[in-house]
Amino acid sequence: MNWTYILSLILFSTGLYIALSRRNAIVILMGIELMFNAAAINYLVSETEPGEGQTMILFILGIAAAEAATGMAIILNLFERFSSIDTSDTTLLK
Amino acid sequence: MKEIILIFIGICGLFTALSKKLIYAAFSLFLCLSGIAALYLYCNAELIAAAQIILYVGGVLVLIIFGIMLSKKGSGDQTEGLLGNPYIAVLLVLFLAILLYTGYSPKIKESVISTSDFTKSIGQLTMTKFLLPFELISFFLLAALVGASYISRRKPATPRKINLEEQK
Repeated sequence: MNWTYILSLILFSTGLYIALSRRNAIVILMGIELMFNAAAINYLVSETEPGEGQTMILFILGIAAAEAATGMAIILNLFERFSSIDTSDTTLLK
Repeated sequence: MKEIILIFIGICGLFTALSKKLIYAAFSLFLCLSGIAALYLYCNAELIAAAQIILYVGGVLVLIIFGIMLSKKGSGDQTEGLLGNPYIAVLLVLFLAILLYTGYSPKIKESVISTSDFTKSIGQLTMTKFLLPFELISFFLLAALVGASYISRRKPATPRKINLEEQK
């Protein structure tokens, strides 16, 4: 039994739980970061050729950086419009 | 040694989900990401470990802690009701993990630790096999950064501020 693989599953589940259950937009972003890291650990464990999984982790890091920048821009805009980043306040389309 | 790192990462990840205060969640995420960097170092992935520390611990978490300043006092508290119960949360996380394990379990080598020089093969792979994704991700990053600065720019004529009380 490979425990690193089990850890990546637990981290992914934790990130999914955070992203689904919290209402604060920043905590949702943190949950998404945890899911990215779980996927990266999974790549590290299950690489078939040397270096291949780590190259994919580099791409994951790039995507995570882009996601964090865009997410923070959206959160800033949200705060400017609603004076709050609680996702239960954003009911414009309700 | 590796088991200690794994348990540390798992506990910090779970504490991120269970902590009542937003700043505690952010700092336990910081510890979790640093632990993942230690795991990369343990698996002889020095380049990835350095990138993890620079990008995540240095970049993303600074953004998150900057974002915490936007939230009101107590707004990061645990969700109400059944979902907010810590025992239910741990049970849900374990259930999801078991579901993922039964649904997807690839053939995994028992040991990932080897002493070969990964950094050289990463450099060769990004220039040969993964050349197209490498170029695409540079374009993707540029597009994301331009988009982020466009979204968060200061508008010349600010749109009408939506009044929450007026709506209700």
